[in-house]
Formats: sequence, structure tokens, C-alpha cells
Amino acid sequence: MMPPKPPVHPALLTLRVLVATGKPKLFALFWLASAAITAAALVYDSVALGPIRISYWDNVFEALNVYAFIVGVRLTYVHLGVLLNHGITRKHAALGTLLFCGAFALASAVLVGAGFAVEHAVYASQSGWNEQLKDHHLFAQANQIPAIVAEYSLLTLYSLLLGHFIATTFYRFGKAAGVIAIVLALNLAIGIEVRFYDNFVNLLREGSLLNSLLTPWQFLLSYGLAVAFLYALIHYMFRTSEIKPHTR
Amino acid sequence: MNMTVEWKAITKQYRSQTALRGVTATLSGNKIIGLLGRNGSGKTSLLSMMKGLLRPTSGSILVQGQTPYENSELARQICFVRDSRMAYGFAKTRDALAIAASAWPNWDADYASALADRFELPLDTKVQHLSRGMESALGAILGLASRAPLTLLDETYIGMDAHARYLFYEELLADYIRFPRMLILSTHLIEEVGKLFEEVVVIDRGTLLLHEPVEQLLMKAYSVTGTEYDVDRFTEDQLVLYTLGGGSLKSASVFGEMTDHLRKLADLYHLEVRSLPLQDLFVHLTSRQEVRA
Repeated sequence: MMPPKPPVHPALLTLRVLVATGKPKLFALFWLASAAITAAALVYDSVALGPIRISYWDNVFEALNVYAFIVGVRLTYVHLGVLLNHGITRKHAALGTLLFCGAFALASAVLVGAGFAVEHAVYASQSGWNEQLKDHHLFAQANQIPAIVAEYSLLTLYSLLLGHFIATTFYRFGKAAGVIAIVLALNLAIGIEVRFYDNFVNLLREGSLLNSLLTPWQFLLSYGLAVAFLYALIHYMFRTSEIKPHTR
Repeated sequence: MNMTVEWKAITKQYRSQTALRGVTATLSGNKIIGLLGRNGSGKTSLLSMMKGLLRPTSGSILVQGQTPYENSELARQICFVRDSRMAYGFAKTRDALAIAASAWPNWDADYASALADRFELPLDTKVQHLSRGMESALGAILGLASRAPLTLLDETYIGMDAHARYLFYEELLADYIRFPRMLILSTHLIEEVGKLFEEVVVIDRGTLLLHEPVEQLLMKAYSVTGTEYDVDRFTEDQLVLYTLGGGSLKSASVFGEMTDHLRKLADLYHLEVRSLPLQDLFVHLTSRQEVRA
């Protein structure tokens, strides 16, 4: 036999699997659609309503949040079996998946930043337009790219891991535990987001929480800890998951 | 590399269902082994444990003296081919081969490409859109081109037409001769593939029924045909797996060695003695409670 090839790093193999299963195309499609819808809404409203007073690109995270969550779910149900069938251990699959989530979150955050930069330039060129941001953010202006990338990297990573955590709990422990995972994830999400988004607080009730917006460091610490907590649970479940046979 | 696989009193339980009960055997050497059993007998569970996808509920499974579960060293030496649609659903066939090429250290890309041509595999079609036969052909290519020291093929022929199946058997044997390794095939189509096996393991309802070299096994079973009276006399003290009668003639399939004494007796009773095909032996063994006992 030929001498064995050096082993492909599990993270690289994870990326190859994801590339082969069409993730980059979906990713590109998502961002093209988001940009097109935002531009169309902006043009339509500027003609119908006159000068624009708010940021339209600020809404893109609502869609990104859902998209990242779904990708997180698929990481368990579509890819865990593939990775383990291709000479990857559970430990390495968990690491490779985390690296993929990091890359996905960073790429998304850079594109959010690019979108804000374009929007900022467009608004600046129009008299009377004001790029007021809807949510509470780490950045005050839409041209503060490093803060935008930092915020959205962490938020997207968190959404990915939330989906991944719930799916992995369903896969590992079954429906009952999966439902408990949803409750836990919701509590975690609300616990952090209630303190971060003032508009979210207003949706629930006005009051004391409104005054507890996070400082940048508190935000990074809260989401950082949430991400670490979710990953630790996912890692444990990956290490102990059995890949159920599908008899043909 | 000479592969050794040890099953030590393996039991596998899925909630209330027991898939395997105390299975113990040692497989060693580079050979083609048939893993035979009816649907739901526990074949896929056993193969999954050998790959490290599942853990035994009790007992242990060792490959080269090591447990395969979470073993990064073994993970790349064991190729387990099962439902490709589950594994690669959204990928194109070409991409499935590319993933496999990244994963298996001994992957032979030229051979995979040649096999894809021979099986007329559409490379730009998504795996989930392949016909069942083509999906199985993809599995066969992945298993053969991986050249993994331990290759597990779980009913890889399903959906293949006769031409493709014979092509698979031909390639399997040719590649095994070129690159000897341990190949374990779980199958129902024993008549077709049986002649490839050097050894068979028969599992029924989660228990190990037998593990024998094929040659020895075939010497342990035969059929006798003659008048009903003579066949009954002959088989009186023997383990009869199956009988078939019509008119005054009767045929009995017997599990046991044909000794010189028995051969003389058969001649005396004017019985026709034939060796029992592996397929018939398997069918009779897995439908007889007494044999298991």
C-alpha cells in the first residue's frame, strides 16, 4: 500500500464537509438577499416618505439570528454522523464545529460591518437623512467598524451555539431533554438580552431593567460566558453521543 | 497490517430492546468475512460498535487491542460504509468522493475514479437524488477506494442491479487480492456473495449462532434425499434443520459432519447426499430454535 497521507486536521475536514454540502452558496445567497431587500426598502421608503431617519441595515441581525440558529441545528443533525464516519473523533468534531462557528460568526460580522459602512456613506450623501440605530449597541455610529465586528461576531456565535446546543440535546438525550434545553436556552437568551436591548425590555415591561444596560465589558463578559457555557455542554454531549444506526 | 477484532461478551441495549446478547468472538487476519443475519438481528449495531459509533452496554470490543470509541488512531483505519444518503444528502457525488479523499489515509483517487466510471456514477448529481442502486455504488466505491485496513460494508449491494452487483463482487475480490485487508460484509444475498467469504459469522436475534471458516462450515451440513422411510431412518439421531417431502420422496437438510460411517449408511439406504449451499444453511439455521439451543 501507499504510505499513509498525513491526517487532515479535523477542523479542516469539517470545513470541507460544510463547503461540499453547499454552505457557502447559502451564505452568499443570504447576504445578497439581505442587501437587496434592505436597498429596496430604503429606496421605496425614501420615495414614499421622504428623508430617512433610521438605519435599515440595523434590522439585518433579526434575519441573521434565525439563519445562524438554523445552521447551528444542522451542525448536529447533518454533520456529526458524517464527521464520525470519516475518521474524526467526537472530541475533534466538537473542536472543528466550534472553529467553523467562529469563522461563520466572524465572516457574518464583517459583512454586517461592510453593510453599515455602505449605509453610512449613502446616508451621508443625502441631506436630511439620519442613521439612527434601533437597538442598543456597542457602537454609537455606523462607521465604528471594529466595535460592529466585535458585537456581531459574539452575537452570531451565540445564536449558532444556541441552535447547536438545542439540537445536540435533542440528539443526545431525546425529546424531553430537548424541550428542557429550549427552556434553558430561552432563559439564557432573555437573561442576557434583557439587559442588552432596551427595546426588548420595553416589549416585556418598562421598569428597573431598563436601567441595567450593559457596558461593553459587561456585554463581552456576559456573552463570552454564555458562549463558553453552551460550548462546554455541547462538548460534553458530543463526547458521549452515540450515532444511531439506520438499518436499510 | 494484520487486523484483529475481538468481541468480548458484547451486549447492546436500546431502552427496552436488546440488539445484541453476549456476543463473543475473535476475528483475525486479512480476509473477507461474511456477517450474516436476518433483518434486526443486530448486524448494523455490531458494525457500528466496531467503528466506534456506538458503545456496548456491557462487554467490550477491541480492534488491534484498543477500544474504537473515541480512538483517533483507529478512527482513520476503520471505514464503515452505510447509508450514503444519510451521510452525504446535500453533497454532490463528486464532493462525497472529495470528502472521503480527505479522510482516508490510503485513499486511491485513481481507483475511485475508475470505479465511478465502471459503475457509471453521475458525479454532478446530489447524493440524495441518486437512485438506490447508484447510492449503493457510491458506498461500494467509498469502501473499496478507502483501502482502510478494516473495511465494514453494511449491505452495500442494496438496490444494485445484477450487473452492478457482480461488478462490485469482482472489484471487491480483485482489490482484496491486490491489497489484502479485513473486509466484513453484512449481507442477505449469500448465494451471490458467499463464494467470496473465507469466514462467516451468523447472528440471530442478537446472539452469535456460529463463527466458522466457510469450508469447515460447509462440511458440517448436507442434504439427503430418498424414500421417506429411509430418510427418517438415516436422520433419526441427527440434527435435522429442514425437511421437504413430496409423494414417497423426502429430502432432509442435516447439520453435522458427514462421517465415513454415515456415508456408508447413506449408501446402504440408497440416499443421495449433497452438500448444502451456504444460503440454505443460513436460512435453516436462522429459522431453527433447536440449533440455537
